[in-house]
Amino acid sequence: MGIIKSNYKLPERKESEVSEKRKKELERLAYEEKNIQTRGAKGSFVVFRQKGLEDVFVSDDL
Amino acid sequence: MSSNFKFLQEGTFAMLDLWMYNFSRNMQDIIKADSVRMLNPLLNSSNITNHNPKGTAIVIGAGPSVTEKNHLEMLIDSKYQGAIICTDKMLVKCLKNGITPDRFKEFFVISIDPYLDTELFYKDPIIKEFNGKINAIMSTCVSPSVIENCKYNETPVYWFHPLIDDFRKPNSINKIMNIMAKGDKNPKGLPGLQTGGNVGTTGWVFSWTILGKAATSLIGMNLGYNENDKIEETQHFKELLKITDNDVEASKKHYRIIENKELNCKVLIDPVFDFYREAFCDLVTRTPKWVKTINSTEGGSIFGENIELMKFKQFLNRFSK
Repeated sequence: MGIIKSNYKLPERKESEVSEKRKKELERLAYEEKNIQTRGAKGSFVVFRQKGLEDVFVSDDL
Repeated sequence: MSSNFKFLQEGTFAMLDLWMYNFSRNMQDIIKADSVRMLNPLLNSSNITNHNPKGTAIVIGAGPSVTEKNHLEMLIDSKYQGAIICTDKMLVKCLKNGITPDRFKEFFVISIDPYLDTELFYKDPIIKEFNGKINAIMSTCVSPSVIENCKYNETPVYWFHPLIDDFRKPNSINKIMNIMAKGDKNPKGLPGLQTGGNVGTTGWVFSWTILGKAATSLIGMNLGYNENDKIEETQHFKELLKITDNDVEASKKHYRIIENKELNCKVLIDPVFDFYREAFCDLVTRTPKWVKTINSTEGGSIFGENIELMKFKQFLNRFSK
């Protein structure tokens, strides 16, 4: 019998091995991507501006 | 305050969960950490206006002018002995060009961005060659993988909190972060620093608030593009496409050209650089009288009140022993 779609068995493929370190990296990248989507990729950090604290560059009493 | 400023400021605060994700995972290191205050124990936020300054620092940003103007070569050929403050992106490039802690005794690198890819700036094997000599200045919100790389490279880490909210209020996030950071080594916790939204500006703040340097020179701090650069190829264009639903023309409308009359050049800026520029130019006007800010980038968008423009060669001649 010739090979047709209904009787063709795909060869089994081993799942690629992903190291624990890489897994963590991928999880982290997914987290960042989600985060970037949330914020709409608008810049990277805030500039600290609060009324009454405009001249504060450093605070030792947080 | 420009519309760009509001637009970006509101958007970036949504990153809070990423900062806290990093902060919590850095806690074990933070609790037994060295504070940036250890680098100059005599200076604090109370005596900063009466500070009697000495010394200079150079903040090295990653803007295109640093290559176009051969500033790294000029620096290595000079007799300059002051502090070097590298933005993280420039660390490896500096080391590979001979700008090393063996040549400059006060050598710092700074990171503030919370993203994982910041760790790549600390992966090159050349960093380990200078173990113990490069001082890493770290925001408590950087990715923990950056700290892991610093440990591998045996780089001493000095910590600060990025200022993000009104710490006078009892429910302030900064206040809570600092309560958690208190330990035997730092009974009062860590200082909070204004970051200006980017690592270059943080370097400038660090130079005078922590090191107490009298004059800080900026190189590679363009915060903008050359007038004729293609907008589609600029650093933040893809980000803008995301917020305009891939509308190229709408994205382009967010850009504008400003004229730097002091350098007689035009600079293309996007909303992100516009935001950083506006913040920086405002911050400079609020510094104590003893702070001297010298922009030696020889291009870019940083100019205005309290900012002295000086060619880098001239700065090196004037401030080298």
